[in-house]
Amino acid sequence: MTAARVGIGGPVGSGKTALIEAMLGELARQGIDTAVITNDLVTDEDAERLRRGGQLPPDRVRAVQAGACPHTVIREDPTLNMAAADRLEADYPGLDLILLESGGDNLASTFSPDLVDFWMFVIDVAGGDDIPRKKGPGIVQSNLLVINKVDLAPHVGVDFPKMLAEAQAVRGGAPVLATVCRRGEGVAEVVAHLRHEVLFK
Amino acid sequence: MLDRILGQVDEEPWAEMLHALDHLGGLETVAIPEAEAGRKRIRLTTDRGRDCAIALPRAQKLTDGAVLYCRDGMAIVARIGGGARLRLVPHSLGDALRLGHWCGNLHWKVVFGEGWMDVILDGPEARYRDRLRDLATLARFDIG
Repeated sequence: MTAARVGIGGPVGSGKTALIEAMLGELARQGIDTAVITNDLVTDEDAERLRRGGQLPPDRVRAVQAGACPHTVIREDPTLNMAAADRLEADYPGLDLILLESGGDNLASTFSPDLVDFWMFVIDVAGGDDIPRKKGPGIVQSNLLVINKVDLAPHVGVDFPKMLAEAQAVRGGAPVLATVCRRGEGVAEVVAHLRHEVLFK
Repeated sequence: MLDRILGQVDEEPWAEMLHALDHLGGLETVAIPEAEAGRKRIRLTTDRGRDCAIALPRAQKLTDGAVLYCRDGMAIVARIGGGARLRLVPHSLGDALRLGHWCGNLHWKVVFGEGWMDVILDGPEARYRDRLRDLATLARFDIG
């Protein structure tokens, strides 16, 4: 069976790479065979960060350089990422999951269903509690919305329960999960959600 | 787990077999929104409430009428949602160009026909009509 392909998008600094770092440990504990593809503008910065973390063998972290707006390689023409995912599956038969991290983008960023089976959008409380109310396509169309850094809410003047309620309202009941990726909080729930919705194991 | 497409409902030998199964109450359908049909993995519920995990090979594509399961007197067929569309009919070639450019900028999925364009809706229709109101001063077109 082919590996599930899961996209992770969201604004710059919201915690996409931190979420992956936190998930890798949880995925390994649960026996989910994983690889990662990172997207950066003109560097391999995020891939290097994950390789340095040492949670995956370096060759299981591949980098794609968008060279332009990050959404161009996950939506308009995702062939670079599709080819990278195909190569990973050929190199590692039996892979359960490929995480595809988009470069930091704006609220209109979405993934092509030709590239991923499921995608999540990561925002954080420090970006402002008005983000859900702006109803960007990333907020309303993603399969899962993750609100990260919720521990910072009192320090940045954010009423988190209100922000969460507004996020749930604009998504019409589609799932929203809260995390503090640096402490691993909420990450098991994200992995459990992926297992049920797309890994089927 | 439904891990491959076995055939199409309107092709033999499936057509006759599934017609018979339908009469015996053994045919279930799983409705897939058109905007989600590109996915290879998706979890859905059939029209009779059966939990389905679809995980297709990358080379296979979900199509309307795809037979996903058939065993022990029971079959499951995919039905790609056909209702969630908005038809746009431009008044002139110039209007068509502006309309196409506008919809492209919004990254809407569209299907072209002779003199019309269908927008495949991925969310409430009102969200699309709000954006089209902005365009109404720049191009002449009909909706519907």
